[in-house]
Amino acid sequence: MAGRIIACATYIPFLRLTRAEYRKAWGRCAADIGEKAVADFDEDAVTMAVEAGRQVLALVDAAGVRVLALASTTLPYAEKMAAGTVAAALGLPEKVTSVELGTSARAGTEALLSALALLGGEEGTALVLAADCPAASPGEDLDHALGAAACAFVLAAGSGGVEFEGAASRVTERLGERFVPRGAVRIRDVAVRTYTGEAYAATVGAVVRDLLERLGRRPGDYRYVVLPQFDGRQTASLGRRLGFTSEQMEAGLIFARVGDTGVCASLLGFCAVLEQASPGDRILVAGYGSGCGGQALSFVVREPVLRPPHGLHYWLERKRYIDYLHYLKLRLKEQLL
Amino acid sequence: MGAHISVPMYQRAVPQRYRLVGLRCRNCGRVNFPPKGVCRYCGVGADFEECRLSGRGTVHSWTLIAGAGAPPEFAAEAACKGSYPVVLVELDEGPRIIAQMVDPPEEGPRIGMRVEAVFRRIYEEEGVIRYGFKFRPMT
Repeated sequence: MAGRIIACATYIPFLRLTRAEYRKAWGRCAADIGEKAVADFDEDAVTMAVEAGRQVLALVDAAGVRVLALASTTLPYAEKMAAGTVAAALGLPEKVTSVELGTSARAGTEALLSALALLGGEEGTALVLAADCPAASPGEDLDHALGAAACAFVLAAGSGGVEFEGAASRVTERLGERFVPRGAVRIRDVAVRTYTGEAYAATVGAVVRDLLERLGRRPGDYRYVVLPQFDGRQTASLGRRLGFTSEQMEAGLIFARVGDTGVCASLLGFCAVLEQASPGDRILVAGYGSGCGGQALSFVVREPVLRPPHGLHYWLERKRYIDYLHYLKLRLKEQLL
Repeated sequence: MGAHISVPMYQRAVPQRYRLVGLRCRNCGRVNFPPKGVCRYCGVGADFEECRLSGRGTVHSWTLIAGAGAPPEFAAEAACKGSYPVVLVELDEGPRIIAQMVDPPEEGPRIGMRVEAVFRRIYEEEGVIRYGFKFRPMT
């Protein structure tokens, strides 16, 4: 399965909630964030996906898009084609082959792999959109980390650009770790942090080692490594255990500024890396889904990606701070409607 | 009850509401948005070609919706945001249209301010989310 990334873009909502607001409201902040991005009242996974999609379609012709892969755990309807809304908003051809993925945060890397497979080495481009605004009950620790973001990638067959080199995937049974019961909208877990931490480290660790072995690589062969970020310390400590240095990890660590962005939990960091990578650099990006499964993908930069005028840094700096009460009203939106 | 727009009516307007598709009059060359049966500028042209507007424009006028001033379909949004600006925007292609402003600057909108259209939820009715455009300050 060959292919390459030719363009990418990101979107982060305007609103931010700081760690200090959690301290004021609850006496503590359970997540190691500095601040996190919060979707506004009129935003959802679909509108954020469109924001990111519009930026890459200013760089690449929409008429040439043959595949659309949409990833999100928070699509606004439990049943109804969300890809149709996105395609209509972006002016994509109706003949596009679309897939929607999203029963776990791993849907982000799943969308990249699906798009590469659906392109199948033929003409045209694939648009990958990942957008998420996960929510838990405001009374639970789990909610403290949950942020919002979107990213878009344009893929094509052939060589050049940022070439896909290979992937490793694993899936296994893991009970009680981060789930949303059917019919519910909020994330739950069994609230045992060491238990979920172990699953994350074991699974992501295994797929990264699988990938290195398959490609005959060592940790030091990668200029950049992006591991999924649901917690800052957990990601950093796993990276160290796998033999990666802080120099390899640093550029892709976004968690402390946006929070846990679900399906974007590693793709946002991947975009940050793609924006600064140079020809010859190798990039490893991993995805993780609770319950649980992991994926690791390897890329080599032949030519820099096309980038919109506003990169990730712009979106990180464009913000307005809200207080906890405002945040609570946004979280209780369903009750207001 | 607010200004009810049925699902079929909203469905017909999807191209204009989702991606700002307007009609260029083949008689006088001006862009009609929202689309019209007869050109609102020359009054005779009824032959059009579709064109997608840039979404960029300039604030011509604005107001602030606050307190109980919001129509029922926007009441929850007003309650959550406290207030929200509504702007009359002159699009670069000529038409003037009214929509909400998102992510406004602290000091509020300004006449002459450059804005761009963004895709947002407008309101929800009968469980159906009505998406459309709002404007955001350009930077």
